[in-house]
Amino acid sequence: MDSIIRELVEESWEWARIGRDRDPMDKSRVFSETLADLESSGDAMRYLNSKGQIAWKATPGLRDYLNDLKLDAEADLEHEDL
Amino acid sequence: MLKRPSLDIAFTTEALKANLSRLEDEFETYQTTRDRDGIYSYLTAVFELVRWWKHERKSVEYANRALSIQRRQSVPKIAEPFAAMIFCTADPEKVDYRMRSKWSRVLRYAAMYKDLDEPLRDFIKRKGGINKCAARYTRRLGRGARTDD
Repeated sequence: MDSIIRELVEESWEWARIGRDRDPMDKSRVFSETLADLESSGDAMRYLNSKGQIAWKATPGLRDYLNDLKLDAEADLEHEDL
Repeated sequence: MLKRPSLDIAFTTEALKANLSRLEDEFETYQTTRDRDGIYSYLTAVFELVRWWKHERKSVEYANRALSIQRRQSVPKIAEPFAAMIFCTADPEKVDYRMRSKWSRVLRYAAMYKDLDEPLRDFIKRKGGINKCAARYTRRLGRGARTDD
Protein backbone atom coordinates (compact mmCIF):
# COMPACT_ATOMS: atom_id res chain seq x y z
CA MET A 1 0.00 0.00 0.00
CA ASP A 2 1.54 3.31 -0.98
CA SER A 3 1.68 6.30 1.35
CA ILE A 4 -1.33 8.09 -0.18
CA ILE A 5 -3.65 5.11 0.13
CA ARG A 6 -2.32 4.25 3.58
CA GLU A 7 -3.09 7.77 4.77
CA LEU A 8 -6.64 7.58 3.38
CA VAL A 9 -7.45 4.22 4.99
CA GLU A 10 -5.91 5.29 8.30
CA GLU A 11 -8.06 8.40 8.19
CA SER A 12 -11.16 6.29 7.56
CA TRP A 13 -10.24 4.13 10.52
CA GLU A 14 -9.92 7.19 12.74
CA TRP A 15 -13.34 8.43 11.64
CA ALA A 16 -14.88 5.01 12.24
CA ARG A 17 -13.21 4.76 15.64
CA ILE A 18 -14.46 8.09 16.92
CA GLY A 19 -17.85 7.90 15.17
CA ARG A 20 -20.63 7.30 17.65
CA ASP A 21 -23.32 6.46 15.15
CA ARG A 22 -21.62 3.32 13.87
CA ASP A 23 -21.47 -0.14 15.30
CA PRO A 24 -18.09 -1.24 16.59
CA MET A 25 -15.98 -2.34 13.62
CA ASP A 26 -12.67 -4.07 13.38
CA LYS A 27 -9.83 -2.37 11.61
CA SER A 28 -9.58 -4.91 8.80
CA ARG A 29 -13.20 -4.37 7.88
CA VAL A 30 -12.83 -0.60 7.80
CA PHE A 31 -9.71 -0.93 5.68
CA SER A 32 -11.44 -3.34 3.28
CA GLU A 33 -14.45 -1.09 2.87
CA THR A 34 -12.31 1.97 2.34
CA LEU A 35 -10.13 0.26 -0.26
CA ALA A 36 -13.23 -1.01 -2.07
CA ASP A 37 -14.69 2.51 -2.10
CA LEU A 38 -11.44 4.04 -3.32
CA GLU A 39 -11.16 1.43 -6.08
CA SER A 40 -14.75 1.94 -7.21
CA SER A 41 -14.28 5.69 -7.35
CA GLY A 42 -11.12 5.33 -9.44
CA ASP A 43 -8.77 6.61 -6.74
CA ALA A 44 -7.01 3.35 -5.85
CA MET A 45 -5.82 0.43 -7.92
CA ARG A 46 -4.43 -3.00 -7.25
CA TYR A 47 -1.21 -4.20 -8.81
CA LEU A 48 1.35 -6.95 -8.49
CA ASN A 49 4.34 -5.63 -6.55
CA SER A 50 7.96 -6.64 -6.94
CA LYS A 51 7.46 -9.42 -4.39
CA GLY A 52 4.68 -10.95 -6.45
CA GLN A 53 1.98 -9.86 -4.01
CA ILE A 54 -1.17 -7.90 -4.72
CA ALA A 55 -0.72 -4.38 -3.39
CA TRP A 56 -2.59 -1.08 -3.59
CA LYS A 57 -1.55 2.32 -4.87
CA ALA A 58 -3.09 5.65 -5.82
CA THR A 59 -4.23 5.93 -9.44
CA PRO A 60 -2.59 8.50 -11.73
CA GLY A 61 -5.85 10.46 -11.54
CA LEU A 62 -5.68 10.80 -7.77
CA ARG A 63 -1.98 11.63 -7.91
CA ASP A 64 -2.63 14.38 -10.45
CA TYR A 65 -5.47 15.76 -8.33
CA LEU A 66 -3.32 15.84 -5.18
CA ASN A 67 -0.46 17.38 -7.10
CA ASP A 68 -2.77 20.14 -8.36
CA LEU A 69 -3.92 20.80 -4.80
CA LYS A 70 -0.33 21.02 -3.66
CA LEU A 71 0.57 23.46 -6.44
CA ASP A 72 -2.48 25.59 -5.60
CA ALA A 73 -1.52 25.62 -1.93
CA GLU A 74 2.04 26.60 -2.77
CA ALA A 75 0.79 29.38 -5.05
CA ASP A 76 -1.53 30.64 -2.29
CA LEU A 77 1.33 30.60 0.18
CA GLU A 78 3.56 32.50 -2.20
CA HIS A 79 0.83 35.07 -2.70
CA GLU A 80 0.43 35.49 1.04
CA ASP A 81 4.12 36.16 1.42
CA LEU A 82 3.77 39.16 -0.84
CA MET B 1 -3.69 -4.73 8.72
CA LEU B 2 -5.10 -6.97 6.04
CA LYS B 3 -2.88 -9.89 5.29
CA ARG B 4 -4.26 -10.58 1.81
CA PRO B 5 -6.47 -7.62 1.05
CA SER B 6 -7.11 -8.52 -2.56
CA LEU B 7 -8.81 -11.76 -1.56
CA ASP B 8 -10.96 -10.06 1.02
CA ILE B 9 -12.23 -7.33 -1.27
CA ALA B 10 -14.57 -8.12 -4.12
CA PHE B 11 -13.72 -6.65 -7.49
CA THR B 12 -17.06 -5.01 -8.16
CA THR B 13 -18.56 -3.91 -11.43
CA GLU B 14 -18.03 -0.31 -10.33
CA ALA B 15 -14.36 -1.04 -9.69
CA LEU B 16 -14.05 -2.68 -13.10
CA LYS B 17 -15.68 0.34 -14.75
CA ALA B 18 -13.29 2.69 -12.93
CA ASN B 19 -10.34 0.68 -14.22
CA LEU B 20 -11.70 0.68 -17.77
CA SER B 21 -12.13 4.43 -17.57
CA ARG B 22 -8.55 4.83 -16.34
CA LEU B 23 -7.24 2.77 -19.26
CA GLU B 24 -9.33 4.79 -21.72
CA ASP B 25 -7.79 7.95 -20.28
CA GLU B 26 -4.33 6.46 -20.75
CA PHE B 27 -5.13 5.67 -24.37
CA GLU B 28 -6.47 9.17 -24.90
CA THR B 29 -3.28 10.62 -23.44
CA TYR B 30 -1.22 8.39 -25.71
CA GLN B 31 -3.18 9.63 -28.71
CA THR B 32 -2.66 13.27 -27.85
CA THR B 33 0.98 13.14 -26.92
CA ARG B 34 3.81 13.60 -29.35
CA ASP B 35 6.10 11.54 -27.18
CA ARG B 36 7.05 8.48 -29.19
CA ASP B 37 7.28 6.53 -25.94
CA GLY B 38 3.71 7.47 -25.03
CA ILE B 39 2.43 4.02 -25.94
CA TYR B 40 4.32 2.51 -23.01
CA SER B 41 2.14 4.26 -20.42
CA TYR B 42 -0.96 2.78 -21.98
CA LEU B 43 0.53 -0.68 -22.36
CA THR B 44 1.82 -0.54 -18.78
CA ALA B 45 -1.67 0.29 -17.50
CA VAL B 46 -3.18 -2.65 -19.40
CA PHE B 47 -0.35 -4.91 -18.28
CA GLU B 48 -0.64 -4.01 -14.58
CA LEU B 49 -4.37 -4.59 -14.53
CA VAL B 50 -4.37 -7.96 -16.28
CA ARG B 51 -1.28 -9.01 -14.37
CA TRP B 52 -3.01 -8.94 -11.00
CA TRP B 53 -6.08 -10.55 -12.52
CA LYS B 54 -3.89 -13.42 -13.70
CA HIS B 55 -2.29 -13.65 -10.28
CA GLU B 56 -5.76 -14.17 -8.81
CA ARG B 57 -6.64 -16.57 -11.65
CA LYS B 58 -9.51 -14.33 -12.64
CA SER B 59 -8.24 -12.77 -15.87
CA VAL B 60 -10.61 -14.57 -18.24
CA GLU B 61 -13.60 -13.95 -15.99
CA TYR B 62 -12.86 -10.24 -15.50
CA ALA B 63 -11.98 -9.72 -19.17
CA ASN B 64 -15.30 -11.24 -20.18
CA ARG B 65 -17.08 -8.98 -17.72
CA ALA B 66 -15.25 -6.01 -19.19
CA LEU B 67 -16.25 -7.02 -22.71
CA SER B 68 -19.89 -7.29 -21.72
CA ILE B 69 -19.78 -3.87 -20.03
CA GLN B 70 -17.84 -1.99 -22.65
CA ARG B 71 -19.07 -3.29 -25.95
CA ARG B 72 -22.62 -4.34 -25.51
CA GLN B 73 -23.19 -4.67 -29.23
CA SER B 74 -21.31 -7.05 -31.48
CA VAL B 75 -19.00 -8.40 -28.84
CA PRO B 76 -16.35 -10.46 -30.57
CA LYS B 77 -15.07 -13.63 -29.02
CA ILE B 78 -11.74 -12.59 -27.54
CA ALA B 79 -10.31 -15.34 -25.40
CA GLU B 80 -7.07 -13.56 -24.54
CA PRO B 81 -7.39 -11.07 -21.63
CA PHE B 82 -4.72 -8.59 -22.80
CA ALA B 83 -6.35 -8.37 -26.24
CA ALA B 84 -9.78 -8.07 -24.65
CA MET B 85 -8.71 -5.14 -22.51
CA ILE B 86 -7.13 -3.38 -25.47
CA PHE B 87 -10.34 -3.94 -27.40
CA CYS B 88 -12.33 -2.48 -24.51
CA THR B 89 -10.22 0.63 -23.95
CA ALA B 90 -8.52 1.63 -27.23
CA ASP B 91 -10.31 3.46 -30.02
CA PRO B 92 -11.16 0.71 -32.54
CA GLU B 93 -10.69 3.18 -35.38
CA LYS B 94 -7.10 3.73 -34.29
CA VAL B 95 -6.26 0.20 -33.15
CA ASP B 96 -7.26 -2.51 -35.56
CA TYR B 97 -7.14 -6.27 -35.09
CA ARG B 98 -3.50 -6.54 -36.17
CA MET B 99 -2.31 -3.83 -33.84
CA ARG B 100 -4.30 -5.30 -30.96
CA SER B 101 -2.86 -8.72 -31.65
CA LYS B 102 0.67 -7.35 -31.74
CA TRP B 103 0.33 -5.45 -28.47
CA SER B 104 -1.30 -8.45 -26.86
CA ARG B 105 1.62 -10.68 -27.88
CA VAL B 106 4.07 -8.14 -26.48
CA LEU B 107 2.26 -8.12 -23.14
CA ARG B 108 2.03 -11.91 -23.03
CA TYR B 109 5.73 -12.11 -23.74
CA ALA B 110 6.42 -9.65 -20.90
CA ALA B 111 4.14 -11.60 -18.58
CA MET B 112 6.26 -14.68 -19.24
CA TYR B 113 9.76 -13.23 -19.12
CA LYS B 114 9.83 -9.83 -17.43
CA ASP B 115 11.08 -9.56 -13.87
CA LEU B 116 8.47 -8.13 -11.52
CA ASP B 117 10.58 -5.11 -10.61
CA GLU B 118 11.57 -4.13 -14.15
CA PRO B 119 9.41 -1.43 -15.76
CA LEU B 120 7.57 -2.72 -18.83
CA ARG B 121 9.01 0.03 -21.00
CA ASP B 122 12.57 -0.89 -20.05
CA PHE B 123 11.92 -4.57 -20.68
CA ILE B 124 10.42 -4.02 -24.12
CA LYS B 125 13.22 -1.67 -25.14
CA ARG B 126 15.84 -4.05 -23.80
CA LYS B 127 14.32 -6.80 -25.92
CA GLY B 128 14.46 -4.72 -29.08
CA GLY B 129 11.14 -2.90 -29.08
CA ILE B 130 7.48 -3.68 -29.59
CA ASN B 131 7.78 -5.43 -32.95
CA LYS B 132 10.67 -7.59 -31.79
CA CYS B 133 8.85 -8.61 -28.61
CA ALA B 134 5.75 -9.57 -30.59
CA ALA B 135 7.90 -11.63 -32.93
CA ARG B 136 9.71 -13.24 -30.01
CA TYR B 137 6.40 -14.29 -28.50
CA THR B 138 5.21 -15.80 -31.75
CA ARG B 139 8.50 -17.61 -32.25
CA ARG B 140 8.89 -18.94 -28.73
CA LEU B 141 5.35 -19.56 -27.63
CA GLY B 142 3.49 -19.82 -30.89
CA ARG B 143 0.05 -18.89 -31.94
CA GLY B 144 -1.40 -21.90 -30.18
CA ALA B 145 -0.03 -20.88 -26.81
CA ARG B 146 -2.44 -21.62 -24.01
CA THR B 147 -4.51 -18.72 -22.76
CA ASP B 148 -5.06 -19.23 -19.10
CA ASP B 149 -5.37 -17.35 -15.87
